[in-house]
Amino acid sequence: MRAPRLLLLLTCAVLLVLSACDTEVDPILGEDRPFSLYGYLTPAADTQAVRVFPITGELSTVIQAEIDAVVVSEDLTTGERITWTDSLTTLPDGEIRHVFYAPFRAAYDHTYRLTVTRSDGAQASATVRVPPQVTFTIEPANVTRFDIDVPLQLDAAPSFALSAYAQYETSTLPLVTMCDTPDPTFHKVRLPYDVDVGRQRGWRFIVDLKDDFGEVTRSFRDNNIRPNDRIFLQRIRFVVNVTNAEWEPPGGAFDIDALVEPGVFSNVENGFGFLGAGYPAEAVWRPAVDVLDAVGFFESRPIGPCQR
Amino acid sequence: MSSRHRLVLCFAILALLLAWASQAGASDVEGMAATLRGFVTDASDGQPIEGVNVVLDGGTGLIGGITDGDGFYAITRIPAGTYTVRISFIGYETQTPTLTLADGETRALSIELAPDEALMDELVVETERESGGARVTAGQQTIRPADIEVVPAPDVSADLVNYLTALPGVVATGDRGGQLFIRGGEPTHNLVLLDGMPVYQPFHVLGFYSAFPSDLLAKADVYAGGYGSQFSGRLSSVLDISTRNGNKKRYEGAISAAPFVSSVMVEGPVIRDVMSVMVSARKSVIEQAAALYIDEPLNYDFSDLFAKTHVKLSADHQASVSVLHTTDKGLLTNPASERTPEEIRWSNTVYGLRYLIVPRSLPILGEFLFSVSRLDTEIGPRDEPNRVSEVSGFNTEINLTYYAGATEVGYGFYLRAPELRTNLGGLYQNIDSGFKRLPKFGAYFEPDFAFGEHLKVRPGVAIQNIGNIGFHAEPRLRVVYERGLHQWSGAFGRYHQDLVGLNDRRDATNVFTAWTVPPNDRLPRATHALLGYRVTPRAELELSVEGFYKQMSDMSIGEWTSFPRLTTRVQPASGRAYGVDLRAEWRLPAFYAYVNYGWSNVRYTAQQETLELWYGSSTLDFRPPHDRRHQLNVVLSTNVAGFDVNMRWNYGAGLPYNRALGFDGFLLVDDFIDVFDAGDSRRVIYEEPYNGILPAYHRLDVSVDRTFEQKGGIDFMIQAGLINAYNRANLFALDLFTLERADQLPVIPTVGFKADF
Repeated sequence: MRAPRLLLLLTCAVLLVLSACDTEVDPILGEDRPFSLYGYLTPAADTQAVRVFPITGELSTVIQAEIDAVVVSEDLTTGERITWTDSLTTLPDGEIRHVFYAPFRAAYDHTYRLTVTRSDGAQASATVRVPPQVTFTIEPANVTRFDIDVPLQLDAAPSFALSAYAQYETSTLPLVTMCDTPDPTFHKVRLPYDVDVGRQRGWRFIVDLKDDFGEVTRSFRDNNIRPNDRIFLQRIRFVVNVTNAEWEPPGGAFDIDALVEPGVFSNVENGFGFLGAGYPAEAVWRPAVDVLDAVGFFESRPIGPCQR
Repeated sequence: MSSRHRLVLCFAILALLLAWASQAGASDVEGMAATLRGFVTDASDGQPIEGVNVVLDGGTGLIGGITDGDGFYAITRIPAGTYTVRISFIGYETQTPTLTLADGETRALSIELAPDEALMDELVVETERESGGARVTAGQQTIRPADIEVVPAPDVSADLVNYLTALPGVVATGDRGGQLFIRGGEPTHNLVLLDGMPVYQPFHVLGFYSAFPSDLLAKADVYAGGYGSQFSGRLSSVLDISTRNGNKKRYEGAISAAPFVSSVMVEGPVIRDVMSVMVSARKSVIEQAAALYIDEPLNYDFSDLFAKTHVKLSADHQASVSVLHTTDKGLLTNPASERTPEEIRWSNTVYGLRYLIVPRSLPILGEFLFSVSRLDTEIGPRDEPNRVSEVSGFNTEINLTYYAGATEVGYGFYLRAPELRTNLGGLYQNIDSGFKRLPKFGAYFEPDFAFGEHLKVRPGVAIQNIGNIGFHAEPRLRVVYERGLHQWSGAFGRYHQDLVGLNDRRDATNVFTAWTVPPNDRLPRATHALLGYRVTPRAELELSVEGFYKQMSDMSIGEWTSFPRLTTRVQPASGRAYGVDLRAEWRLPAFYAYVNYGWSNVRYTAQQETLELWYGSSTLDFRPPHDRRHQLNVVLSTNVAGFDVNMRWNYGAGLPYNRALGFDGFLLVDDFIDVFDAGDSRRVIYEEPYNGILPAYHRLDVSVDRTFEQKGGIDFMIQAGLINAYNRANLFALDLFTLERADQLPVIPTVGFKADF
């Protein structure tokens, strides 16, 4: 029985040693980067804004009202520095967020550095160049038997464009206007255009008025917006959302499940998030009367005595 | 060659093999050879005895066979003549009838062996060698009730699962959750059969219990890999459990009470020597008993009911009907957690018929199985569960064993039609949930060749056709070479899994498993290879070592996301596991020790589409959360002053888990959004998946019991024990979002009482 006793003794010794082993576990390694920030600079607005999240060691669903952060922007082209103001924004669900803002209009082709600094000196920053201004040339409509197209040509190639769309700003009235007819209703119908198609054509977009008219009437019908009314076209606004090159999403698409991974879609140094720059380049016009007639739109709201 | 052509070719080959087997059987009948076959049972209770030597001595040499789990033997190709038949098994009185066999005769000889009390001491040593901790052959280990009963448990009745978790290569989620990972596979990769009936989730929510109390069992065969062609449909392992038939001689029973579970079991003859019935019921009493003195929430409730009737219809026909019903419910998260507690509930309902037939004129044992198995799982509020998964269906099998001298040929057919209903409530968003049916049929052929006295080779093939997925063939091979004290064994096989069980391993408290059809009609598949050596240097000592390699493909695992949520999509993954198991078993009359050590290395390769973007590679290798590198189990049992003292110590190296660097918010800037109003999400900044290692797990369980024999045939047993004797704070789950941890059970004293009558 000597061997069994030895085995028992050995087991007890191992148990004594192991029972003193550490049982604690610390799953949060800690992150030196202090902030994540999200937003963009644009010449199209007179106020710039960026949402700032402190990087913390615990997952709290409630954002604290106090944030240890100072946000400063510097126009690297002119040297102008602006300290941004924190707005404790309340989201529709009641949660608060820290959105810092500054009342200035970003300048075309200027480079800005946005720095978020903690009181201990830790900084996260992003440097972004606002793309140069581009403008559209609206070419005469090409009217054929089947199509009525209006070509739009950008005068310079943007680094990147997020999206493009044609917005038809319309009003409607019944075919016969009675004195008790309500006022016309105004509707904006936004039809997406493929940026890649325009880019491949040398940043030339072809607005297909006839197809778009079909989409507009379908939209009215689908949304039950006085489907029997005449549709008057006030104007067409064609927009290309021009951005800096860094705004092009990795992988080619804004897939939230892919881009949520920290660092994947980020230009923030010593932090996470994304700061973009861009503006909507737009062309606004109203086609000639004969073109509108050919397309199917009415020229404008009829003027005349109402029928009683 | 198209899939259809391969199917036709394979079935044609199989048909030829089956025709050969039938023809070979017929030639035995028509030729000069005689056949002797029958059943050997225990004269005291009518139970079949496995491993009985049946040897014919005709003066010119010995011809013999060994009984199987049904106590059946068949000896073929016997020259006509007069023989002395020696029927012997250690612990039983040997019988030596004499008989004369004529040319072409098939003789039935069923024997009842009477236990020999004088040989009981010898029995202690020898029968343990029929099973035992180190007795592993090509991945297969047989477990008998006596093996299970030396492992301490918080109950006076032993349970199979406590032995399983003491095996090397088996990783459990701990003392709750009921999940077993065998040699790198997932819990849903394990096939569990109870008397041939599949049981989808037989392990109770509290890890000390399964639907298999040792009182019910005749034996359990654990195939940790490399299993034969008769088993199909799972990737990792097979647990093939046989229950006893019930006492055909007299009524007996047992009743027990303990702080965790109380139970009652009754068995006896309905018609003496012909028909028996056995009923067992267990119910947890944790909330009524253990919770009174354990300062920890114990929200677990489970029960199981098993009933079986067995009837000898004639000398050549037997049938049994079995029913199993289990229920489980429990809260695996900390009730004090900030997260909404989610109660998980599941229930198994299984019933089946097993019919054994021995044709009068053919040396064949036929088995017909029909069963229906159903598993209902739900999580969330009782009246309005958040997620539901149901799997049910029938299984019909015909298994035939043809005896041709030293060669046994197994072959058979099956037809199954599982039906699946899932409502995943947003979990696994790219899985097509709802109702599914996956009919499948197949056949297998597996001859077991004996080359001389030492070498056995069992090649096999299983051919299956699964729903719209098509057909596939699975080759298998098992080789055993035994010489003197030494045994070398090896196995190889390819396996497919037809039903997929999805479980998100990022949250250990989430044991909800959604059963579904394979995504994209791609069947998960695996290849096993293993090689082992066993030696018995002394009668009381046995040592074994076995190395294994397992390759898995087309698995489905949860996608990773930095959003703080567990509802995601599934991603394809492959995996491989390799390792080595070392076992030593030492048996002395008053001392038993079983020590095993398992080393394994498991890696999965994720194939999530976004990996290229995240890590610059289209795949990512990682250690899955069940990759336990080192595992050591020590089971000791001895008798001190008339008390049986059992001890088990279990050590497991720390498991991988996800660590975070920190937390921030995420706002998708995909357009000129309104930065003031746009909705965002909190985000977890993770390290690469499963780079952290949890603290090691170890626990000591001790039990002391003594049986008091009373007049009138009633035995009382009293047991006292300590679970987690040195109160190790073993981690069960860590909520990364709230940093709350849930530990395994603390030190628990138990006292149990059992009466056998």
